[in-house]
Amino acid sequence: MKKKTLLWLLTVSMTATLLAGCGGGGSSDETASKAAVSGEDGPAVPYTDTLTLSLLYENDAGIVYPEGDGPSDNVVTRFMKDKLNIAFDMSWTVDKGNYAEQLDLAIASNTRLPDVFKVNKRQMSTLASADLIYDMGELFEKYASDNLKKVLAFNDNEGIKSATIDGKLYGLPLTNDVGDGVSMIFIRKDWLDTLGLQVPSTLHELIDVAKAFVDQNVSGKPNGTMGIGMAKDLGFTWDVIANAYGGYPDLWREGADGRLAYGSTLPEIKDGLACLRELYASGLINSEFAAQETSKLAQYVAQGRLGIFIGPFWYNNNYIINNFNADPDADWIVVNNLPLEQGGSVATRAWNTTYRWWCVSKKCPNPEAAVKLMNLWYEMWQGEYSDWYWDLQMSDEYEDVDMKTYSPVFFDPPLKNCELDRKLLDALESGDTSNLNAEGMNAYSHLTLDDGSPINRSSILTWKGSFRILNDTYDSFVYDAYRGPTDIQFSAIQSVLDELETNTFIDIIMGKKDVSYFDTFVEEWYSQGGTELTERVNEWYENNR
Amino acid sequence: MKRKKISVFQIVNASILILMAVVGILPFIHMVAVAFSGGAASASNSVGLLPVDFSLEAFREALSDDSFMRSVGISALRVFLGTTITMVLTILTAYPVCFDKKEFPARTFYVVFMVITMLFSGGLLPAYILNTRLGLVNTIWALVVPGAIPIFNVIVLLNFFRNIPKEVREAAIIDGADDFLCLRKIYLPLAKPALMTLTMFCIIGHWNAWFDGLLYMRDNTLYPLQTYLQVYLSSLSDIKSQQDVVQMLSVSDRSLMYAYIVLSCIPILLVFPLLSKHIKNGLIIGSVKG
Amino acid sequence: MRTTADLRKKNSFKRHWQKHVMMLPCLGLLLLFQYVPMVGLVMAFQNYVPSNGYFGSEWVGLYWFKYMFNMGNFGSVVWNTLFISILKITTALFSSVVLALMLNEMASKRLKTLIQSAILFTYFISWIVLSDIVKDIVAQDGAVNQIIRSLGGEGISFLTDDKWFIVLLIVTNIWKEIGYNAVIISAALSAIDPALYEAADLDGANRFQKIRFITVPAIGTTVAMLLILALGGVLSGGFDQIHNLYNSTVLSSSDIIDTYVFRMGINRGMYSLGTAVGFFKSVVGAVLLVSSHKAAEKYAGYRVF
Repeated sequence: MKKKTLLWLLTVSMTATLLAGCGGGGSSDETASKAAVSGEDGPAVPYTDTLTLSLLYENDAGIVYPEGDGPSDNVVTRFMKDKLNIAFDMSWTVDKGNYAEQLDLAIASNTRLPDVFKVNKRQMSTLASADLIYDMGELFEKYASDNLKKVLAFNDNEGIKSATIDGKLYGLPLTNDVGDGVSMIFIRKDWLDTLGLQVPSTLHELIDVAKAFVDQNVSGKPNGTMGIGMAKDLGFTWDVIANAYGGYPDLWREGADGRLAYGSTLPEIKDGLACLRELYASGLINSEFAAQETSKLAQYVAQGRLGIFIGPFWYNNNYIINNFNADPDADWIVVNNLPLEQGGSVATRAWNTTYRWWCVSKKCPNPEAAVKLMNLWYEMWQGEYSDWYWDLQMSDEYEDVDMKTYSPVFFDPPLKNCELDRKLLDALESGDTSNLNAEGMNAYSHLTLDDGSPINRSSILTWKGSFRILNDTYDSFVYDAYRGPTDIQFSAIQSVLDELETNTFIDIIMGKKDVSYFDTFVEEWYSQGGTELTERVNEWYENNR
Repeated sequence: MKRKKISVFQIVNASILILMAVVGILPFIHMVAVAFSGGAASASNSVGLLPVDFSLEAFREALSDDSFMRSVGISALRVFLGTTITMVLTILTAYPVCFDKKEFPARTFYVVFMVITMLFSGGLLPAYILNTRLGLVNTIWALVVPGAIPIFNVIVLLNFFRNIPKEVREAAIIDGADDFLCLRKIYLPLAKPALMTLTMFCIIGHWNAWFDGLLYMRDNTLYPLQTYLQVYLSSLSDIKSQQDVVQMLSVSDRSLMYAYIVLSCIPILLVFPLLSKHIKNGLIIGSVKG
Repeated sequence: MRTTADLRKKNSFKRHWQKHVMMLPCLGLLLLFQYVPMVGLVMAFQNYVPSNGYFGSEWVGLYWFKYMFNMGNFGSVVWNTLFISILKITTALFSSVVLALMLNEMASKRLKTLIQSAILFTYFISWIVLSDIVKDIVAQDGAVNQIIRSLGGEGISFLTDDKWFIVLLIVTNIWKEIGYNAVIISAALSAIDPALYEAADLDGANRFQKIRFITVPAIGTTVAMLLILALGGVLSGGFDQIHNLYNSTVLSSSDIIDTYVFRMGINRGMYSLGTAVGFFKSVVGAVLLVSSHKAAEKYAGYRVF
């Protein structure tokens, strides 16, 4: 009986193997035929027959379309069809919050991918090694417009270099505004005035201000005033504190020996941690920060309990407008990353402007179409067609929506807002708006409205505060020096080390571990794979200096 | 039946139980109170067990969320399909293996075959690959078919079947009944309490499942309720647009969160008394047999 | 030539063909949805490249297993899993037995049903929902801490203190599970022949003696069954609960195998590692289940399957 059962099971497992045999084979999808152009092909030449590109559409519940329109048929895609004769198939929809996981699963299960899709660095490495995406190098050279090449070359070709594996360009960088990842400090000005305090000019003064806010319960709320906002990812707050002490966590930096070392393991970090630990112990940081999402801070700000928070310029929209709405007497200022001591200086850490790339599947017959679309998007957003775009954006029909969410591809020239800000400030001073494009006029009208509305006040803070700071400082930003590939093994080690780092740092800040434990952490970091990472990173650095 | 006296023990025992029940339920009362409270009171955490500044805004907003309402519909469909399929299959599977080895020799094979699936699984990715190849992605079948036979439920039912006296069945077989008839006329009626209990657990299991929805529904418009809650409750406090800003003032996201939760519990509350009545009856029936 | 064995076999099939037919859907479904994916376990020994599939990917032997055991925290992940599971299983089972016994002693059937329903209610609510409620009421400014402070105590960081977080896991687990186990045990209790109690009454036994000598032995098998089934899942430890409640402060004390696989295998796309960890879990789990099943058969004389 037992033998027979065993025999049965063996048969069953054999059948299972056979059935699963098709698991990796890949489906025999035919490649569609190539669409042609008439005459010489170039950056903006339309196709003779409509080329339909399939996309992995990232669905966001917040996007609103006019009646009858949708992701693949709206004012932006129609314009693209008109100019390039490219149509879009977005039947594969993935929820925004679930995009990376769904794409991982699709890649790993060898599902036929759409023609063009957004990927992160790890996914790009996997796809490249599986030979599923095009080397875009030559196509980029041939089809990218001069404008596009200029935009994507920002910060020493950061986006391009990061997408280059063994000399091949596997993804087109979807750049973001340089300010998106640069922290600055937002402070309740009316609270400073109430307590008769100066705007802080050093980190120590900032801490004193926070102390005063808490000790004197300047908000008058029954459950007290909070000191400095920080959430469980440590985030931008940690950047600012670490930078003041000369530390740069989470990035690779060149040391005195010319080799790259991981910033979080360098001795300056210890001082930053000690500082945060003290802030935590003295109650200036919420005792439960380690269990809180960043969005919790936005609530505290809106409720008028938190008067100091740290983040990039766009935190303004999420945090402060709500506070203005709830409390018309509230007033905010923004200051640059602060040095430790009077007369000191600080170089601000900036996160890379590219963290997602556009990849083209090998199954796509017209890979150059992706480059052409990016050319066109630039012209719509900032170039030749921008007047059409921004006039439409400000028309009654589209006033309340963000038209860029309609576009199948989006990237922001990293310095666009900084340049616009310079022009805006000039125009505000001189009253001469001839230099401003349609987008500039839009911002200009918000700024000059001066009706004390939350949106007006928030605009003033952004353009007269945040971008003025960015314009003054973007030359001296500190970026991650490693731009090499992140394959699955690299990312495996990194995942473990990242967790080790966050947990250790939070434990030190919360006083669960001593500050001197940092040295143990560094040893652990190296022994748990850090040595291997350091070697790989430096090997790349040697070859790509 | 002699009349029972109410002793001190009874009173103490009952009071402890009542206290336990009340403590267990209090969080839900608090939740309902917050959901019906005004923005300011709820945001500052000053609501106890009764609403402060009674307001229906949170519910109004939750009910006007189309995706939420759609996800409730998807969950309802899932519960209906999933429970029907699972119960039919569980009954069919539990019956043959409730006989012992002597009566039904192939039983050993079937049991081993089932138990192995309890012990080993290929993990997430192979299952995903299979379901994609089968074309189940973005369909309701991805949520109800792959796990259609919970071996745990089969074991519960087979143990119940096993306790039904052999003599009843043997008498029927002598009268010429075959297995299907036996199952229908003898086992199912006698196992009604167990079936009701399993049905209830099945309904709840499907209602509460969230992870497969996240995996197999690529689009948020297809999420079942719990997946929707998992994804959106955490992002509730992110401010999405200018319109939201105005609403923020009247509705705190705590109230909104609890309004969503209260609404998601209502179907359970509706089904609950019905099923627990069956359980209660079932237990009385169960006590008759020795 | 027919032997008697052949004859018996034929008869057996003739007699049982309907049972085989009943098993068909189960066979088919399990084969397709459980056995076929098991082939994917080979990924644990590969550097899985999607386009090459299960049989074309590079074999890396035990690389991922070595990687798993070399990681500083994997030992603590396994330890946490066992520690939390065993605490949760024992506390939940013990409290359900007590609850069932207390319910059984209730005179008023209506009150009994009411209390049973109230306690059962949480079992039907998902962890998605419960965790949001729990996180809200145990936060520093939440209801629980407000009560503690009003009684003159110090606020407790349930969510960020390692020890209190474990307490939170255990208490909320009892809160959710107690009703379900109690229903099952109650069923066993109501199956006890009332004649036994009547005989004990005649012998002059008091209430506690009756519980000790009649009730407890009668539910022994049911409790054993619950325990065995729970032990089979000792390496699972409750993904839904922990995943929805934990944060990185309490990771070192509350990270269990399933949450680990979720973060590494799914969030970060390391499927080979995820599969290796899952495989490890399956093997250990199988040993545990089979041995606890054997033990139950030997000591409690109870067969689960």
